[in-house]
Amino acid sequence: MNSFYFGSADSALFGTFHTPGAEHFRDSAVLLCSPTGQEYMRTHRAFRQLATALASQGFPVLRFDYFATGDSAGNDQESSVSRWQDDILTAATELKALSGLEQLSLIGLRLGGALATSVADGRLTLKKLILWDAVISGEQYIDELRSAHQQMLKELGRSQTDKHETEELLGFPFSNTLLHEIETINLLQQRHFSAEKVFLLVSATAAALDTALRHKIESAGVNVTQLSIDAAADISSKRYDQQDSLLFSSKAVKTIASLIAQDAQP
Amino acid sequence: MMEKAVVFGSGAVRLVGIVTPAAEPQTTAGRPVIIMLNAGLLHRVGPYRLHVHLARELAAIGFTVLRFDLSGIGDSTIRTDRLSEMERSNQDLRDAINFMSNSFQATEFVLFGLCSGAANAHRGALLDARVSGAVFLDGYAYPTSGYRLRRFASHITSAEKWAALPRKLTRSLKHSLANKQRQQTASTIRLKYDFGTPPPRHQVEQEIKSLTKRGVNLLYIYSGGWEGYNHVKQFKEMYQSIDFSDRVQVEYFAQAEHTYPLREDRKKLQRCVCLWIEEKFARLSPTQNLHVEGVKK
Repeated sequence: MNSFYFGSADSALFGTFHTPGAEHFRDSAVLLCSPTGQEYMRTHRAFRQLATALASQGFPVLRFDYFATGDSAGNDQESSVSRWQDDILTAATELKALSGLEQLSLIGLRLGGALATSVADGRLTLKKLILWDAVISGEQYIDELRSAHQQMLKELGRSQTDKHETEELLGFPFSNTLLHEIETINLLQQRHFSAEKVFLLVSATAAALDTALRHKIESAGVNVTQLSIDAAADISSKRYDQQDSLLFSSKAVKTIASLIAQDAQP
Repeated sequence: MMEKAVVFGSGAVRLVGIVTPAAEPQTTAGRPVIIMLNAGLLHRVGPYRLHVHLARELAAIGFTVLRFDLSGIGDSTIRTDRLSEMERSNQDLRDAINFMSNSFQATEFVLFGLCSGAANAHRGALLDARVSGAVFLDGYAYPTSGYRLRRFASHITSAEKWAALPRKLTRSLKHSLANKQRQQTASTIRLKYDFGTPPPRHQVEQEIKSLTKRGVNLLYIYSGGWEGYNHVKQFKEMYQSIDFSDRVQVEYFAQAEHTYPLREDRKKLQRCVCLWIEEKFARLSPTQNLHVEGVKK
């Protein structure tokens, strides 16, 4: 495991590369796309678990923080969806260079799932795309954050601060630009999915949007499998008072690691 | 400012941290390095990225900062030796101080910690003479008669609290059910914001006295969200024998929650910490006009 900064010097991204076990070296590498905001904090440990499990099966793995998140450069207010999409492309290039492999799979959780899907529009051609409770509708996601934030304010007896330039949602500022960009995310409108296989993993009961996305990807001619995983692994920000728990799901990690290993060449 | 990922540790342990170098390294000679400890099980970025923002603000006013993960947290490996949790964190902190001492020629250190981080910082300050200051967010608190009286008065006079009682009970029940479910599935773990049973009050009082006698500067900041502390005066009530002189500063942010989920509270906290550190430790460059946006004396 090697932690380092990469990308341009003035906007460096923090990443951790997990070197595969030498005896099992595989023919593809895996890039992890994390959620953002409070969901990022809650899943950091699970992502480390997942990366370790995949590396032990012989996959080189890179996990990283988007610009203006985690340990990467940038202030919260500088976050943008287009920037985060570029960050995934930069991280993919870095992973290819580190691993010496051209074939990549992406695993995206929550908003990370939406971002991963959005770059699989031809910009990245993937072996596998695994979407873990992916945000399908950005508008619905922001509604959930707003609702949880209001609930938090109410319980703390506080009022909403000025929303002129940024809106604070569950501890993180969202600029108007970022809000607009997220609200326009709608994976059901994407026409092209450049992946050999897509897995839709849903921890809660599958909703109509999940099924609609499955049909949409199938109609684009891509092999798609929908699976339900560990129900307790639901980390969506629907309630703020569940935010003081870290995701630690061996079951979900095992399922995802086995999906990546399925049909993979040693 | 280019931050740098670093790895250090003794034996087989590999501790991961980020160094934020001071903006003007030539001004930092002789100044302490700030070391930030984990808040509970959260990795080194801190709640709501608090540690990242604070590290960068401190670097902007001329202090080099290390934020790192204790063994078993974040990206750091787990210790396989048979040390207790306290001994592990003591050893990890010693490794961090040694690393910054060897790599950055630092001779003095200021520790910063929230909750369990504050408890670890307290022990670290006692154990290592190179520590010349410490910032404790929601550190040890002991109920005093004043605390009990204020708590009682607040409960019986607050119409809001009476009105909120059914909601609180419902929430408490939901929390308890959710905890039960979590324990059954073992899929999530609660953040350990509490740090177990604190040492006896008189012991901590003696330890604080020994620190001030050694010349260590101490900043205690309590939030309104910290159960067990409810007024700025409580610190003096808890530790009546301490001569505060100019070594100990206490602040109470009544509105703030324990992990500072609201940005306006975080800004206030960051301003307070930067001002205190600048006042106490920027002494070697008195002619320089050091300040960051929003941090004014």
